[in-house]
Amino acid sequence: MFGFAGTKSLKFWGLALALVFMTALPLPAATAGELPVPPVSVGTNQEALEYYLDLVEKLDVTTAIGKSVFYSGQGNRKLAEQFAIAEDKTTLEMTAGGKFLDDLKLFDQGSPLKPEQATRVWSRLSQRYAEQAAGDVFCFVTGARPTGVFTTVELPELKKNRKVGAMYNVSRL
Amino acid sequence: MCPDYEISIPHFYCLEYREGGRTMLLEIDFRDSVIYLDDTLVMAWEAPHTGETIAAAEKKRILDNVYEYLVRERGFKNVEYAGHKSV
Repeated sequence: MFGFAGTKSLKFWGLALALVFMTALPLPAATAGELPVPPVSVGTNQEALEYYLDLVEKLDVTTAIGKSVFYSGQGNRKLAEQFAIAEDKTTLEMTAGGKFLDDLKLFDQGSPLKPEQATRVWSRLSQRYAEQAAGDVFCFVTGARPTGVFTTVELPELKKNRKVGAMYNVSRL
Repeated sequence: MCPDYEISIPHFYCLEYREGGRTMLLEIDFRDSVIYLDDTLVMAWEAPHTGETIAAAEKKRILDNVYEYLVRERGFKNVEYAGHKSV
């Protein structure tokens, strides 16, 4: 029905219409709410730390009520992850924010942060994860060390958190 | 002289050690304020080398390499290993 010229014309108007709609319509919420893109480079360690400490406040680590899983100590991460998958629950690194920060590899070679700065950033994200927990929480912490992030950061926050119900040490059930 | 091993930290919860075509994941939680290195971290090589026995001397060599990497190369200040504590 359409010759070569007609096809070209249709393509042009199709593209033009698509562009009009793309610019006129608001972005869907999922796109508008996307996580921030980290800078390619930051000036100093201190600037990098400030950037990531600010970023960590914006990351989404929310879980539904009764879905949060915590772990600490040798062998417990794998158990926690298997439990979370089987029971439809969530560990920190399974949240959108936890996965985002983990993908930045802040402890690896080439990180803009010194190791102790990366620890500080992750410690804050872990604290936020405990702050948002609600309902029963599930912990794999047998053998956790007193200097570990669970004992020093997450557990105190869970104890303060009035939304939290029972805390189960699942590895002991 | 280049070391005959490679180390990376792909996640906040583990360290990847590669040597002679084999890979091992050491479960270290880098969020912790102190990192303790001991032979319980050196469990097994990843597939297809899972069944290979790891002698005590080999475990020690791996941990020595990990300590060297973390403390000397990367500047971690919170590592405890075999009576040593990095500062």
